[in-house]
Amino acid sequence: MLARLAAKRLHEIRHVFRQSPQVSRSLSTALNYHIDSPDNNPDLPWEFSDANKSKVKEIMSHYPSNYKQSAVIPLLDLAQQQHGGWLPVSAMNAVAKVIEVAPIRVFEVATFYSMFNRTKVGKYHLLVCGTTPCMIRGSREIESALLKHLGVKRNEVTKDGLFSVGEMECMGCCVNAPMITVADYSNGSEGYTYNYYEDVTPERVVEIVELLRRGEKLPPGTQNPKRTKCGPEGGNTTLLSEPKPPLCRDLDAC
Amino acid sequence: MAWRGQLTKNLRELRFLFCQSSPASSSARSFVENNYKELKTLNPKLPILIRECRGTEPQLWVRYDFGVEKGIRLEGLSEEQIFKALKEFAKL
Amino acid sequence: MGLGLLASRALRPAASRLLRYPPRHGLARAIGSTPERQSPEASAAQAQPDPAPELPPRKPVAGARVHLPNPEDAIEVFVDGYPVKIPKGMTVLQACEVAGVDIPRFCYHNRLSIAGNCRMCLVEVEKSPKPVASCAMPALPGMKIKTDTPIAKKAREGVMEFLLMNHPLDCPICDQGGECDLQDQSMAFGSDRGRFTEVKRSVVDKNLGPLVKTVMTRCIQCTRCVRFATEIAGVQDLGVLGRGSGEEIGTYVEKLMTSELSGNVIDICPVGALTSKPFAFKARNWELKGTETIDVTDAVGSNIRIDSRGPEVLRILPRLNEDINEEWISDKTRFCYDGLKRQRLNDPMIRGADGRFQAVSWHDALAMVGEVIHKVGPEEIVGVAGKLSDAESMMALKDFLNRMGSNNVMCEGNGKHPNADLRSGYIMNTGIAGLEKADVFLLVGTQPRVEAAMVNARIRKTVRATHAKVGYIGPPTDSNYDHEHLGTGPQTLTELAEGRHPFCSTLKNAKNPAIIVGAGLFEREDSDAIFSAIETIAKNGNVVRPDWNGYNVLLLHAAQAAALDLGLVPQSPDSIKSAKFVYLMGADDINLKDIPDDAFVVYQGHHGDQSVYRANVILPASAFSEKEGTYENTEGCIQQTLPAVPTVGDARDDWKIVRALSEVAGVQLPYDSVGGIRSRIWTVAPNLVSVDEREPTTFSTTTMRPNTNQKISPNDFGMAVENFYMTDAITRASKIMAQCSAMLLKK
Repeated sequence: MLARLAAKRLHEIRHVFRQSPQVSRSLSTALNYHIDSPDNNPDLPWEFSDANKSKVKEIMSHYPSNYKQSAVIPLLDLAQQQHGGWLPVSAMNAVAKVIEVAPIRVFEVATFYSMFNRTKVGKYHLLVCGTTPCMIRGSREIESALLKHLGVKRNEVTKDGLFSVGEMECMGCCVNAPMITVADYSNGSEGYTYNYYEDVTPERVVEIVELLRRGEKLPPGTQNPKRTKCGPEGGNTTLLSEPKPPLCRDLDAC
Repeated sequence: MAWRGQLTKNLRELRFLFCQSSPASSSARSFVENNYKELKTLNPKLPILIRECRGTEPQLWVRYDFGVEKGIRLEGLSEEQIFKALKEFAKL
Repeated sequence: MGLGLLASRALRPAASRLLRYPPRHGLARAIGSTPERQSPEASAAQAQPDPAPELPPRKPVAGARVHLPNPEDAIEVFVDGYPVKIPKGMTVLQACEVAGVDIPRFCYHNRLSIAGNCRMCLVEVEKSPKPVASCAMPALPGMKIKTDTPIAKKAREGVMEFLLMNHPLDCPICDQGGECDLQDQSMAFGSDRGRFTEVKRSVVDKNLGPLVKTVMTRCIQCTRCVRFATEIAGVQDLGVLGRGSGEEIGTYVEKLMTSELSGNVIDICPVGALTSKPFAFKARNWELKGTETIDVTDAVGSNIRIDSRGPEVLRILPRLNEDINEEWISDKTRFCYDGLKRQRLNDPMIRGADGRFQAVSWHDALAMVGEVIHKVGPEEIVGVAGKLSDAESMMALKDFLNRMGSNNVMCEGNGKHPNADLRSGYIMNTGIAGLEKADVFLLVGTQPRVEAAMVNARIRKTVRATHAKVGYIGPPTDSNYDHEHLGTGPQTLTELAEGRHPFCSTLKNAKNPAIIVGAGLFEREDSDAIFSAIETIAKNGNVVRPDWNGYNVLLLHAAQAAALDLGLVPQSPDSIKSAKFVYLMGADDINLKDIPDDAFVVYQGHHGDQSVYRANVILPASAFSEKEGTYENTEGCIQQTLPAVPTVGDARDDWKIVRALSEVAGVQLPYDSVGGIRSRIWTVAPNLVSVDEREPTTFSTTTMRPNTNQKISPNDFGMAVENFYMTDAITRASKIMAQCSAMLLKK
């Protein structure tokens, strides 16, 4: 009898958790296999732009000449920035040619890391941190506010191609939770920025989206006007003076 | 030694069988080593098959028309004796 | 029953015995005294330890022989208390194998690099805080390895539980059932129940071609296929995509596995993720009878096991042979079996006056042939042996036609002027296994990837291990190792022979140079001149020495080596153009236009391929899977096929047909049993009788061949094998090969 009650209660708890708005909690924006489409197929030519070619050379100089393949991650990042936030198959093939490995090795790396987008993302790719500290400070509401405002599902691009929303791992701003980050792919690889906007609320995050839509740049960091960086509202209450030096010890006494 | 160039008149195939390393086949081996090139140059169309196999007794086989074959053992025979046997075979 | 009652009484716990039988004298506890407690001397006497228990001697797993390359360098480790001597550098898993303990594993394979990601091989090593992955840990001297302790057992149960968590419940519909590593190891090493109540993940199936069926949900990500494709097949197509439980093995983009060794991933995959598409859902492995035989689709003579059920060959698997094919076989070998069911000749037939064939009895067919053969003159009789003929039938054919007065018996593929004199002129003198010692390869007019895939695998193994240099002369081709394309024709050869080419210095500085010449060059008019140029190169490069013979000829067909050994050399090269009686024994690739229109053609073979359409009489023979025949491979190793299935219809063995024909024709051959034929072969080419042996050659053509005045023609070398998947009668009749050549050939 007790077992039946316990099972019923477990079922109720599971039912509650199943009602979360996100349908799929996948982090990556694409599947682990490629489907040809008109703007993403191996026959499309793709090359690093002339400005990026010198960057490529600079990146390759960081690694030994017989281990060119170590440069795969920075090169994929550069290719992603150049192509507006995502990697088509032809870009990955081009990177494979530069580092002289078989393309499958580059595909392996690109599918491993969720920050390599293999399907289209918006010009402003909004990433919401979903890890525990942000979650208990309300990141789920931030995400649902964004999705409702933009009218898209997670990892989907808005019709004007400007925004997409994804989930990200902890980016280290737990003191200023909840936070979002905006990967700005609107100016190619020269104008690429990756800025954090912390202490956001569902209303503030919608304001940020509208600011970005109008093309304005706003300073990154905490969005709570009462805080400076990661200090509390109203100023610091500790660390007001110089830190005390360590106790003077007689080092020769040992 | 004109008969050496006339082997194809009667012979259709010549076969030397011997062992690669046994002492009994040493005379056969040295015969082939010294004389194969000459015999083949004189009779380019005649198949002179050299077949070695461990543990085989040295033999010389000749094949005539209509599948008739004759063979002798080469154990203990010197080079001239082998030539004599070959000449005998070539005449028949 | 009485004993059972006694036993159950003995098993009752002692406490209840006490309650049941109350102690006398009111004692609640029995006090015992032992000698140690009574006096110190008695205890010292007891303190001597028992002598070490006798450990039974152990043999290495599967009867393997342990080779210690440096006996001084051998180290000693203890496996379950048993001391064992192993060479330095062996891993713990290999040390346990030497000691006779088979450790379960999924990702480790002794021919692939070590991955260490399945964790099934965990064993306990003394002084180690956690169990170690024995496949990756090198064995250090004095290590004490324990494989049957509770820690090791718990580790195995745990790993097995994890592996089965996301594995679908496909056993009833999975082809690997019955020969599945996961099934066997979970029965032997897993626990009896799992604790997984969630939803299992599933993965999309990938399309790898018409040969390999993929059900990627069953994949346990051992990465054996990825390592095989990268290292041994040389095609980097497969990879591990994604991470965590969403890991998938695939090609990312839709790419078919075009490698000629792609079928081997079916053997290598421990679960049913990669299985054979033609064999899907056909049979379970316990229904099949395995026959150990030899493959004849190319000249390598790979050792195979034909699995058959009743009269049907259902699949072909490789057998281990370290010297020839290791444990791989090419796709052609593996999937040609369905050609054995189609286009078979099963009745003797005679072409009537209206040009149509009519089935007749053996008596009539042989009588007809016997009659016709006496009407023609001896120099108008020609015999051609085919690519798949075995040595016994070629011997019988040669003897029969010689007795009829003809000296024009030849074999397909050997050209018009075969030089069968010195064996070293037409076999691989280095041996296939010996190629691993070479450090420079010169490939002349041969594309090993399509001609002999196992030889190519061996060359690739050498190039990978020792960075051997490969120079290639021939039409542009893609091979799976780095090679230098020196040229396309005889000009390069002349330059090399005269020392003008830069590759000459590479050859001269090599310790063990190997020259591999393709048998496609036999068909050229200037073959003598080409071969003498190659012999000059061999002499200049010191290729043939007493301790190393690097001069190799790579043959194309299974019957060529035995044919040349038996002396199937035609007396006049163009005899077929003036023949009146042509006996084709399985010969489907000769130029039928050469045969005059009034010639009487007898075709003896097993498939109605090409020559049947010109034949006047058809005599059905048995295929390689239905007869016991001797075949010599390209390196001179003699092997025998065994009959796996009964033959089709009224077909008989080749040599038996010739023997019967000889009797009907009046020139009865002196043997009528297999032993008789073999004794006859022993007087012609004694090496063909010593099965599974390779006879080294004594005289090399570099020194012994007479000089030739032939001029080298400027024609470039061509491709001997145009379509890898369709080279002989059996493969041309096979549907699977047709699918492969439509989808997988690189255009």
